[in-house]
Amino acid sequence: MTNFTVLAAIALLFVMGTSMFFYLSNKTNDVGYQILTGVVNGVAMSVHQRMFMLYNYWVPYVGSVAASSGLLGFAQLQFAGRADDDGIRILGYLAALFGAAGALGWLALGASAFVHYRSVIRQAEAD
Amino acid sequence: MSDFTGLIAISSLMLAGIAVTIYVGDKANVVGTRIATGTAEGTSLSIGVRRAMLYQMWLPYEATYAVLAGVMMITQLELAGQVSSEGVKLLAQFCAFVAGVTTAFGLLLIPAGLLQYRAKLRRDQPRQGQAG
Repeated sequence: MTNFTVLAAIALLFVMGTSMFFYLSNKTNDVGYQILTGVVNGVAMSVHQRMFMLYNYWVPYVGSVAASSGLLGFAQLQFAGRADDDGIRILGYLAALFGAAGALGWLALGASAFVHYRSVIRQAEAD
Repeated sequence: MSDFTGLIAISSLMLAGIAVTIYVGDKANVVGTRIATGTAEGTSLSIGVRRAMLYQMWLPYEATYAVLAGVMMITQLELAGQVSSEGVKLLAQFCAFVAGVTTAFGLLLIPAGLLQYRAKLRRDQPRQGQAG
């Protein structure tokens, strides 16, 4: 394979992966907002329903965004190792770093947000 | 198949697989929210319509979600067997693992969601009956 083929693969994977990352992050935040406010499409949700949304909508979204970022980062690492040109290799490593940072960032953010959402729902139940 | 071709195939399948499962999962969540709230774009839905949506929309979406992820898992495992590079093989195996977890989650969500939505419909039935 030529350096140009590797560069095209890295660039395509980066653009598509970044689009997917931001789409998923946006969906995760939208669901998180609904869980926090307890209102979906103008309708108030029960505590039980909010808990269901937390485990069945929000947690899978966080899992998806973290897992897909990690996989994209790992794939970039594999592409980077196949380039002869140093510049293309560095680009591949940077893209891999971006994927890894996305995965780790969402895992950390997800853990803290999960604790927060649960406490908000429990507080709503107590009220 | 060369390792580079394998890597391209694995990455493309990974991207397409994530996009498709997210799209189907998203659709299932939108339908699920409509069943739970009893409204769709400002229009109130009757219990009968919500029940029909549960079995004719939500359930097929969830089943598709689980089956799609399962097919992705098997394909990635097959691709892993076609490459010689350890790194590329590991990538395919990671992809297969994530797809496997997604399949398991989808299969678990079907009974959990059915129980949750059916209970919600039962709770809302007398209220709608009084209103009507």
